[in-house]
Amino acid sequence: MLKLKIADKKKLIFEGETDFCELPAQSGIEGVMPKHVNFISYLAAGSIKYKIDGTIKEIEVLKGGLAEVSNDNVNILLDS
Amino acid sequence: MPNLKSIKRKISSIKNTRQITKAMKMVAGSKFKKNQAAMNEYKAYASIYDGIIGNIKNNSVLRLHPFYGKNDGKDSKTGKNIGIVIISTDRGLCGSFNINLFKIFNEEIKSKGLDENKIKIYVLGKKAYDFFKKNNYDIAFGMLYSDGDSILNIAGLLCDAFIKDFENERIDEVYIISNLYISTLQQRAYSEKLLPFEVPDDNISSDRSGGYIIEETAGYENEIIDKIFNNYLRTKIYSKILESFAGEQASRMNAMDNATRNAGKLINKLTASYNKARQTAVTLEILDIINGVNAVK
Repeated sequence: MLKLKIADKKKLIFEGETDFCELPAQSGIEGVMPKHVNFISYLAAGSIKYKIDGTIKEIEVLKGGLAEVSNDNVNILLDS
Repeated sequence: MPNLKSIKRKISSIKNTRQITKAMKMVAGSKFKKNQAAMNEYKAYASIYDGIIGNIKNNSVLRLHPFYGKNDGKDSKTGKNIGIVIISTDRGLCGSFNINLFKIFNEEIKSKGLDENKIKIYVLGKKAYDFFKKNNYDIAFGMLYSDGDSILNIAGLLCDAFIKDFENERIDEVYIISNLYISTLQQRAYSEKLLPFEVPDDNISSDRSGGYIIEETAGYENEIIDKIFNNYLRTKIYSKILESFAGEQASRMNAMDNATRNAGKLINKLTASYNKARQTAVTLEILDIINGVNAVK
């Protein structure tokens, strides 16, 4: 399981566990599953997708942001 | 009776003061709500950023970055140049809010044995600016909130100032002194080290979380790290300013509440002595009349 945290400057958007998420990184879309290698990346505009109980949810990224993945923690900060 | 008149005048003037402090309390209360909401909104972002930096800090590769103690132990004989960031307020009448900052500042100097001539001050807010100017400290950056810039810009300018000085080795360490918002009734001034970043114990970091892949788009790697660290400091300063804002209004609310209550007590006391004086006057007059009546009989 991945621990996913998403926040922008106004509020915490999502915090919880997920099996899979997809990030619109600047060099292309990154899929993250458990045991993914640690990485840091800036995000481009696009949408973050994550899966809970088999359903995929989507969050729009308007301006970009920052994503950090380490030891099955995914932290995402959105600039908007 | 001159005494009666003067007491009456005093009472009415204190009543006016009470009205003013009451109004100020109301104003502070409404501002406080706004500032508190802003502070809470930003908290999630700041705490996640804190977590990210905490993770990144374990990465030994990143320790090449200038923010990791580049200027450490360069010339320990002459002592270090220290930068101190102070976040105060523009306005007074908020209890011991600003005084506490200066107290911590003096304590820090004493406990760390710092040379006062080697301290550069980066200050926000009129109160601290005036204080350090009066005491002839070297103010490298000073700005008031009332200059009209947005807080985000102010935080950016402040960060740029001390980061530039740090990178040029004009200062070796940076501390921040600001007020921590604990609750409406309690704010505490405290100091924290900003730069250089503390390196955690080597034995944890070396094997487990050493590796990060940093997304590369043409020689981008250093830039991305630079940007993350710079933004981190900015986020930190910004959240401290928001915290200080909320604390200021809360502190002012308490101060004004106390003032209002004290004014009430004073009025009660004065009213009692006014009544006493009036009673004495009445009694004297009656005695006079009775004496007069007795004399006529």
